[in-house]
Amino acid sequence: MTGALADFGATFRQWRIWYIMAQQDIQLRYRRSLLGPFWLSIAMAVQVLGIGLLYSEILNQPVGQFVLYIAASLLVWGLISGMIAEACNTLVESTPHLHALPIPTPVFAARMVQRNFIIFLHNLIVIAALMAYVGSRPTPALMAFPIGLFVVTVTCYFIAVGLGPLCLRFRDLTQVVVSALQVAFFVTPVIWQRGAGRLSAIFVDANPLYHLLQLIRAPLLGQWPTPLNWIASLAILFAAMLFAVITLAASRRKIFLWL
Amino acid sequence: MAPRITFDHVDLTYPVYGMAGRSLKLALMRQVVGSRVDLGVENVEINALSDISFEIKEGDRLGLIGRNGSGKSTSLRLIARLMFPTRGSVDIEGRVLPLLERGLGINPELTGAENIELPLRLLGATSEEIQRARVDVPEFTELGAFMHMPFRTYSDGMRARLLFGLCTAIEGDIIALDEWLSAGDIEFMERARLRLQGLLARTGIVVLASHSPELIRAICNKVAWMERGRLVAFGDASEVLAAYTNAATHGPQAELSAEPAEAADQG
Repeated sequence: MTGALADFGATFRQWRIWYIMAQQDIQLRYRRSLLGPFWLSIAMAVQVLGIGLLYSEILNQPVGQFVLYIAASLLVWGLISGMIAEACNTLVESTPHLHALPIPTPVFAARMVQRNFIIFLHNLIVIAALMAYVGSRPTPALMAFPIGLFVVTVTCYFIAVGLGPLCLRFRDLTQVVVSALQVAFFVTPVIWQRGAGRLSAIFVDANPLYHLLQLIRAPLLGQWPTPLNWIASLAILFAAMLFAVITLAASRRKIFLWL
Repeated sequence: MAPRITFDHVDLTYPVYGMAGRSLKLALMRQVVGSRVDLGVENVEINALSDISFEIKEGDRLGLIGRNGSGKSTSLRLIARLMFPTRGSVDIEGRVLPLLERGLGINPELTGAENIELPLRLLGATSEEIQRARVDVPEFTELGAFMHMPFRTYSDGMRARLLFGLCTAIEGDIIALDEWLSAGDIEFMERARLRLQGLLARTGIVVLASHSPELIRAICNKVAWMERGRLVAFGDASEVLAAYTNAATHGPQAELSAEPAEAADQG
């Protein structure tokens, strides 16, 4: 237990390692391309417009607001599900490092979260552009955005700290997580909205991912997250923290054997 | 505090997982179905180290000698805190510089100069040490303008020089060293030899794993001779090395350990 806490301390102190690694990950992905990470923003914009225009027709919604909703949804969902999916690979892809250097494993989780965080910031431009185009103005609810983003990012970091060693030990767990996320995309109100159709709201409120999603998405759309969103998200954060500490304490001395 | 390494009755046993052993599905099925059903799960245990005890203090240069699978690398990894004993304890006082692998943290797309910080940070360098290395590494490697070219454009010799320069750019109380550092294309370079000697001389404890009695004789004052995870002999370098070379050439030990647990060295 003390070892696990020491690992978190070391990750905090050695922030430069994961900061540099994340930066290089992004550079490597977009090296020698003029727009760099903004390629992602363009891809995101195309996806948002496609889905937004199509579904506004299907679901009979006003185009401008609905496209904005889809943009915020996909952006935030991409952040959350991306971090959880990539969490599975954080240690597997770092095998050479773990083979020769005694680096605490939470460092690699931090690298992945930082990488996704930077990409998310690039994608925010799509939202800003859309808001300007639709003519919706920033509201005071936007103040909740950085807090929500912080809570969600930290939660995903702890999930990654736990999933990394588990996916290293059980190599088929990655497939389970990825499939679960695909199902989650449909049962979470990403494209549709809570309270739509005949679906009971309890079904939505029981979904942890919905609360994390709302914590960032609602402020972007000019709404405050509900008290239930906050309480549920903090409970999830606490559970993730517990999951991380327990997994780390149980795995930190065995990592080498699982490589 | 003076650097010190203490191995106290260290045992290290670990399972080797095949494809099936790494499957969550099969692990769960075993829980449900029980062991009555053979799911084809190999359960091979490796006895990497058994009952290893020794102590080394400041000023000691310990050579680990033995064939593949004898437990040399495993001992180095225990010192580097990459592995942990199953029973017994490993006590280490002082900052360990683990030089077990080269080239970690190098990004081929970046220039030599840009490739200084991350590799050194991974080895545990502080900001001051990075600052010093920024001056020291270009000077040693004599890469000149190439320091500002991408690493991927380097020749093999230039790469070796940069990697060697990086590994020897920071200091520790304890160096855990696999033999590669003293071998390879840079061996002929007198300056590299002097740089390594200087680094080792400033280091409290050096632990070197090697197959080569000559290399160990040149550097070490103490030797641990290992076979199949056991300590055959530990003590004064010349005595143990004499016994080792004697046994290796015509002793019964050579026969005894004809089929060592290969996998123990590969981890």
